[in-house]
Amino acid sequence: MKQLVFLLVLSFIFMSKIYAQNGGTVRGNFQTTMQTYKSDSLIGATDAPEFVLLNSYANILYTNANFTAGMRYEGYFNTLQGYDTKNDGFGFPYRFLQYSADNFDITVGNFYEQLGNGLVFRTYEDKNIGYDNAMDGIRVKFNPHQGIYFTGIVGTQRYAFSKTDIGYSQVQNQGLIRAFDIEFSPNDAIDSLNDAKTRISFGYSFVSKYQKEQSQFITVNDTTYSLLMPQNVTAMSGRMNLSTGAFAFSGEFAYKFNDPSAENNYIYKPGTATFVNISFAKSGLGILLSAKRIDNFGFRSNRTATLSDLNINYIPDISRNHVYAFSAFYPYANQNTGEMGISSEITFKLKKNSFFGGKYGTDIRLNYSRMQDINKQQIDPNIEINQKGTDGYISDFFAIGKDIFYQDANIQINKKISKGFKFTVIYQNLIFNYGILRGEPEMQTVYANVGILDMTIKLKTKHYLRIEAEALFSEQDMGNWAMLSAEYTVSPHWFFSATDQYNYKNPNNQEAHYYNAAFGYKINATRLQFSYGRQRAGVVCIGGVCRAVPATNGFMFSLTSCF
Amino acid sequence: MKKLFLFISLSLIILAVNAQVDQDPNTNSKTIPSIEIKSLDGSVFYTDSIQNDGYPIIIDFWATWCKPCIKELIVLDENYTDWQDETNVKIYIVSIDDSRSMSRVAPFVSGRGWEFEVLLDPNQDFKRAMGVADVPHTFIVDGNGNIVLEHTAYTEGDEDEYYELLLELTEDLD
Amino acid sequence: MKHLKYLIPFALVMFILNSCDKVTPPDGSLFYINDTVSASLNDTQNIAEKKVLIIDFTGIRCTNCPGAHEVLHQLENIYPDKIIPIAIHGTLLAYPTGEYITDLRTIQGNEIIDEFGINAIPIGLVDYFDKTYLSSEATWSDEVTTNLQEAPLFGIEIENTFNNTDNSLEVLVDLTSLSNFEQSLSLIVYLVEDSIITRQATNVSPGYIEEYEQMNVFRTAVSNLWGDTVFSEGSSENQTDTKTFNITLDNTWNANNCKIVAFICDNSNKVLNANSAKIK
Repeated sequence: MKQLVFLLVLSFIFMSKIYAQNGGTVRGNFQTTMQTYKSDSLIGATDAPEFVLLNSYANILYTNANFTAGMRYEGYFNTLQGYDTKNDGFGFPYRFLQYSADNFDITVGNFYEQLGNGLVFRTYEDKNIGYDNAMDGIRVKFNPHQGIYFTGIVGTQRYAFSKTDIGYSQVQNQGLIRAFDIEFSPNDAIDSLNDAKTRISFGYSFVSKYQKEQSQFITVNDTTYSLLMPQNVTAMSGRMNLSTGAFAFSGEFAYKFNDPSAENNYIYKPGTATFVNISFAKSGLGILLSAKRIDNFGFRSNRTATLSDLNINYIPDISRNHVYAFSAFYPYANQNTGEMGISSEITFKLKKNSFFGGKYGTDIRLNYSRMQDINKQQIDPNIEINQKGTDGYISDFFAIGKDIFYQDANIQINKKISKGFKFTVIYQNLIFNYGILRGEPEMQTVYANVGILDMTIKLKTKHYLRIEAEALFSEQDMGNWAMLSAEYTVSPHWFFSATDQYNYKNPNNQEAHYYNAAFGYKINATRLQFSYGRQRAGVVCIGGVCRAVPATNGFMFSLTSCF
Repeated sequence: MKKLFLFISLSLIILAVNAQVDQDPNTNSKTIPSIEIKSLDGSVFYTDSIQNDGYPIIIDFWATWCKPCIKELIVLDENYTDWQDETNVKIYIVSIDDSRSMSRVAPFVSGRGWEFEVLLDPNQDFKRAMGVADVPHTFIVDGNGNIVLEHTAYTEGDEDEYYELLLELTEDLD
Repeated sequence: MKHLKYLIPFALVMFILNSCDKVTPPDGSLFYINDTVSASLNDTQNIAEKKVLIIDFTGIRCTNCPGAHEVLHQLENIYPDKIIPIAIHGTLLAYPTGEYITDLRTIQGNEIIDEFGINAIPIGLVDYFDKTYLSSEATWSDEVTTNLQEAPLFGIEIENTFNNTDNSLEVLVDLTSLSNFEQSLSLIVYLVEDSIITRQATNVSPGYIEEYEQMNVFRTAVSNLWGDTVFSEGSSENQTDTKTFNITLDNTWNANNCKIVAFICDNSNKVLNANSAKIK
């Protein structure tokens, strides 16, 4: 059977190759990452019995006129440490056929889709956090009139691999998802509004999941009972976007009926999610204000799923996604069971040739975000908050809970001094509730200050040197960190880098140097990278979805090629 | 062992097809597919309407949370006026920010005073259709809509390669 | 085509009206429960009864692990004498550090954990001895309910003879085939100890319980760690096979709390039946 699938893919590649010369196109990419593991007790790195572990992906997409077909090969030989080992093995977990006509678009097989902001439905993949909740089913898009869009979806979700012949199948007792979405945009629908300065659009999404009843038990007064299980759970949301000149507003509100699950400890309270953005943008100045409130809004196609498995929806994270090593040291992780917060960001440019702007102007970015728990009250004096099998708690929409989850205040300045020299400076002040965000209640909240200086120096044509100095000061968790990194690039093909991260004043007296050296080569759309050294244990989060990265020591090789 | 064999043969085939695509002049006429994405004001945008009256186009996939992408865009912004004068190039930047950071794109771009054409691809449909694996990923398209350069990742100085190609592409036009 | 425009919204409305179950608790209760306990099993008073093995991978510093123990406890209440648990302590979260001083890990337990690639706990296996079927505690009750409906294919009897003077133990495992079965099987026999008091991390404030009773703690394999072959030629109805094992208990173990757990697996590592017996 595996051979058969393999042959099918081969013929698919060659067929598409032949057809490609009749007007269609083939596109795709190939990625592989290999790592060797050596145990290193100082940093807690372990070795791998296999010695080398490898993850690889290849996407192939064939398009000819209205017809598109695509598939992705995934191989884990075996899965890299820190990714879900349920994936061990290989197969074609993603394959689809799509046909688009004038106002119709039909996809069968796997697809990724987002309704609105994703509060009730979003499937996507991100290999960096090992996330893939692709749908497997049917999607129909229908556009009866300019400015009116319908989307209908039915199917199940991907859950790693399992031992079946096609290398992919569903879990036992898999949930079924049905969804539709309507979007109406008067500016596109009504001719006289086409060029109006004010643009507005509305959307409504409806998602229902079906999963057959499963037994769950609770003990009340020493008698054990089974819980009532809703087999069909519905979530819906309404949204609006409004923009006029430099101002823009977008808001979405979602509601979910009783959905007891492992994630919310089998409580029956309906969930709500609110997400609002207001922005102002004109040349040289951008302002963004965001707010969100999430109350019991985890939504998964299997009520027993945990971690990042089988999410139907997506809770956007409003805190800033940092890119430097230490500013991203303590990233925020979404709390689907309850969180509320605000975020604001101001970006502006000091003009060229002004006193503060200098010859080339200066970019400044200020950002502040804070996340808190929502307020939770007992439903009855005899029932604890979040007690299994009950309504869980009562929450006042505008009341703020007592726990701070996260606060981040930071400023970033980008400045070019001359043709051969530019730099970026960042200062960040952070409060990170380790106990809640990493699920280890014994850990103290971390208070940290971070400073970063990143300088780029042009040595001669096509030769650049980049120096990055970072420091993180904290009395909690692992203590203080300092980092120095130098990167030498010879455009357009080569780069070489050397980095040392030093952990000192560690409360557990486990001071350590995390050295790493790397070089890379790229040509057109192909890139190779080779590195050796230590990697610290940490957490990588993208959009509030996180993956724990274990400490490692060893060689790493990666290849990315697009075609 | 069998797995490894399968894996190696598959990678070789893919690389072989890749190499073939590069060498075969017939298939070198890769163009931009028509995908429904959004423009900055939220209205629907079809990607086959990316055009520049017979002059070259740069399409750059990026995200607000991607460090090398921002570096590349800052450099493109610094050179944009000069390049436009010489080659009439038009730069489209396609943000793959999802709903988390999508609303950040407009203030981000205007705050920096960038004058590129900005498109939003939150569901990454256009990214997949173009075979992009990671951002930043840059395409240069000639006046006839054919993709003539694909470039992944960014290191300082890569813009010189774009500039030389843009000059080459417009030499024949004038 | 024109009619389609009207049909689609109509279909959508019908869809909305028909796809939500709203459940309500019984009158006067705040709990969303079925009034009757639904632990009804087709109990066929055979020579052998089907019991279900649950291997629980756990650790003293694992905050979510007491939740998994709670699920085990509830299952034991509902299905008395039908649940055969084994708790294997391992991964980083079982490593004693700071105020957590008890090390419940074993070399053999670590070997199982490495072989199964376990790096996040709690996680467990219900009636399987294969990493493909690792499942979270949330699904255990469902898996147990399903597996208990299976007919017992083999009977397992355990006879323990313990000698107090030199701590030696003879374990006699009697297997009876209840049908014709073509495969050879593996018999796995472990020793576990109940009621070990340790400090245990929890996910409720203050984050730990000072004196927590650890049950079914894996101590050692009595058979080969990965099992001994039994019924090597396959088996026919009522055929029996007997295995005898001799071990000496470690002085630090309390013999009064020790149990022998035995289970048999087929070629696909499915557990066909399991049983346990106190050593004295």
